[in-house]
Amino acid sequence: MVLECRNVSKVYVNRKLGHGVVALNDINLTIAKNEFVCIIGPSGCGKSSLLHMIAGFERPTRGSIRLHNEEISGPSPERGVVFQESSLLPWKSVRENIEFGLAIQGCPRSERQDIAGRYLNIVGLQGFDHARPHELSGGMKQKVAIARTLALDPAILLMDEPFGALDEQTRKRLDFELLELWQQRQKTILFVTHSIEEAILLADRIILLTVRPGRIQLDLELSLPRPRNLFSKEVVEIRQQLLAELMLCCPPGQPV
Amino acid sequence: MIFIMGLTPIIINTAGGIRSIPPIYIKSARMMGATRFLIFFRVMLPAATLAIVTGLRIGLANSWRVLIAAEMIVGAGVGLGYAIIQSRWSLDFEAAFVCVVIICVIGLVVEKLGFEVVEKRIMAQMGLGQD
Ligand SMILES: Nc1ncnc2c1ncn2[C@@H]1O[C@H](COP(=O)(O)OP(=O)(O)OP(=O)(O)O)[C@@H](O)[C@H]1O
Ligand SMILES: [Mg+2]
Repeated sequence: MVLECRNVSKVYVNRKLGHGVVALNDINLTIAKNEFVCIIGPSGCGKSSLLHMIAGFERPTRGSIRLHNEEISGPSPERGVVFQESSLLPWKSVRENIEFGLAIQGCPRSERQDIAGRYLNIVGLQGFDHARPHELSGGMKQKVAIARTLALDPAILLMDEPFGALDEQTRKRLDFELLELWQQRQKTILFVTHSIEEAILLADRIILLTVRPGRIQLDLELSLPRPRNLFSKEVVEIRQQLLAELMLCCPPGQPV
Repeated sequence: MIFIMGLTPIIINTAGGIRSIPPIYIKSARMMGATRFLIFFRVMLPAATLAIVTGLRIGLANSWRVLIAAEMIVGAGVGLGYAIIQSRWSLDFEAAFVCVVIICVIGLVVEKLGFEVVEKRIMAQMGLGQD
């Protein structure tokens, strides 16, 4: 077991309203080594909040989050995050962006260059070493962000709708590439999305959160072989099941 | 006076520049294990470079104006501002105009050859303003 969330709740105190917003309520979740877990749920149910707490940017209001049995106390490269929006530093080249995290860790230059080169290859961006982020497409930027985070060799990869801002086609391709990468390199991944299809394509396990305050409504193990066909009988069944569950938690016509 | 007029925009712009840094840069640096010191010098300062240069530019322009005015009023005995006043007193309008033109040219040269080039370079590097 890599990660364990126990009775995690998050309340944001809003001074203007004078009362708290309960974003998450009593989340219990354990993630095993090399597991690919997707979190889905309606907007505002606390997916990002959960990820940010695991990343260490915020503390849970109640409960505990442990990585390798150690309480999380702040951000750390052992919990690598890929953000939804581009977080590359615009004044650094692609290569410098990937090397930056390693430099912070005090990794010597030659080793840094080796590692950066390797991860550039892995995400298929060889030859773009010296490009600046603004010269890349959205999909390429996210690939660089993934390479940068992977280069830190994190124990768990936290991805918050990393392909959410991309078009359908690019997203499909990146999903596929991420899957290949995960299969080859054995990583533990926690992936937030609000697309049922994306979750089914990727996950070993799908966690469905309810509307705010987010609780775990469903924890579904998927044991289908990959690559998965979205139109195969089993997958269609799971899609329908998930859709029904989603309807249960937030029936249409109800204000969000 | 020259100092204050010059320094204020520099400080305001730097502060504004640092405040408008996307928080995501700082978050991702923290995720990579950066200390506060590193975040300041390796992320915040470079991200605010453009604003700092703009501040310098306004600051220097202000200082330049105040300097000329001060020379006119205080009458230091040297300088372009003093020279204008001198020529006015001696009704030498041509000399006064020459001085004004010189003042403009110096200002323009510093602007165009100094700051604009630097700003353009930074903007090109960060991929800003080229649509
Ligand atoms: N820093 C914050 N301060 C106050 N309230 C917050 C903060 N961050 C999130 N919230 C609130 O917590 C709730 C959950 O937000 P969160 O961003 O985790 O949702 P989400 O599931 O990621 O939604 P989306 O799918 O739209 O990204 C929201 O109601 C939001 O208003
Ligand atoms: Mg979110």
